[in-house]
Amino acid sequence: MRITPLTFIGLGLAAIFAILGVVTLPSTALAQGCAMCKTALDGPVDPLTEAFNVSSLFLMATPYTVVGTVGAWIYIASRRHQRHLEHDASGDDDTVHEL
Amino acid sequence: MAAPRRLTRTGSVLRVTDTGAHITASPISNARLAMVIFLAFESMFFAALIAAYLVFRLRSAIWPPSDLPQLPLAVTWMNTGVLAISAYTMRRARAAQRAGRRDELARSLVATAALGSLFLAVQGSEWARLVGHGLTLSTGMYGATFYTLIGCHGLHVLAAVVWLLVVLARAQRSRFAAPVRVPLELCAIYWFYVVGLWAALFPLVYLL
Repeated sequence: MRITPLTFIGLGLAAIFAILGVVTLPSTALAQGCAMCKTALDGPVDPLTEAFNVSSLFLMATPYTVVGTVGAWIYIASRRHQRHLEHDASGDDDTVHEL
Repeated sequence: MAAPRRLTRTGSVLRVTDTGAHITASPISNARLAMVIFLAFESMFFAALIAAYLVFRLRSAIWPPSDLPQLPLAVTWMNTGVLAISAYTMRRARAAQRAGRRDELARSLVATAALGSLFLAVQGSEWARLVGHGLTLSTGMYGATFYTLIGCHGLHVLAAVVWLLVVLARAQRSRFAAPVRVPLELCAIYWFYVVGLWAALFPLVYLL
């Protein structure tokens, strides 16, 4: 795609409108959550509050656990693959099969 | 003349030339990577269900509610054992496939499918008994969360059994030759995932 001066002006205007929108929006409106959750969690620490907290922590931790596990698996597989390649390239591989 | 291609243990393809070996494949096959990404999505789906279950479980002092039937613990323990054994037979099937032992591969696949079906049958009969005692999907949050969580897992086991039967049929058609290698690998990954998932759900729902 060729970038023209008109593209720059368009992007600049979009950025200005985005910044203005974020700055001028009332922060109280952004801070509103689910009315039921807010009412329940604003009160004293009770089993429901504890349950919400534990559940939230669990949900926050899960993506990191999943991505970390997949990343570790890829890393370990890559290391193992590299070791096998070095072993194969050394010429003393007894498990090589012709396709 | 084209250089000979070789397939190593890891599935990498090497092109051997006068100047040495050149790597032409990635360390992880696309199929396995796709399967793992799919299972990552599945994990998030079950995480959402577990989080919802935790909210209802932890806020209740008495669980299950006193007017509802207790979950069948002894039978479910045995059913957990059945699923664990199925993971072992699947592992044997994979090892037999890699070693080229076709008879053992066939036996292990049939055993795995039978154990998975047994797990589903026992779960189904227990569900029928619970419904008979008044625990249904509409019996408050207890029934809703129990049937949703365990039901979703049951559906996954059913999908795994169907998948395994398809792999078994394909393997029999090709007389357990090489073409089933990748489908069997993927099916095994999915099977282990379903068994591992039960290892997390069983203590959460039945023991906590």
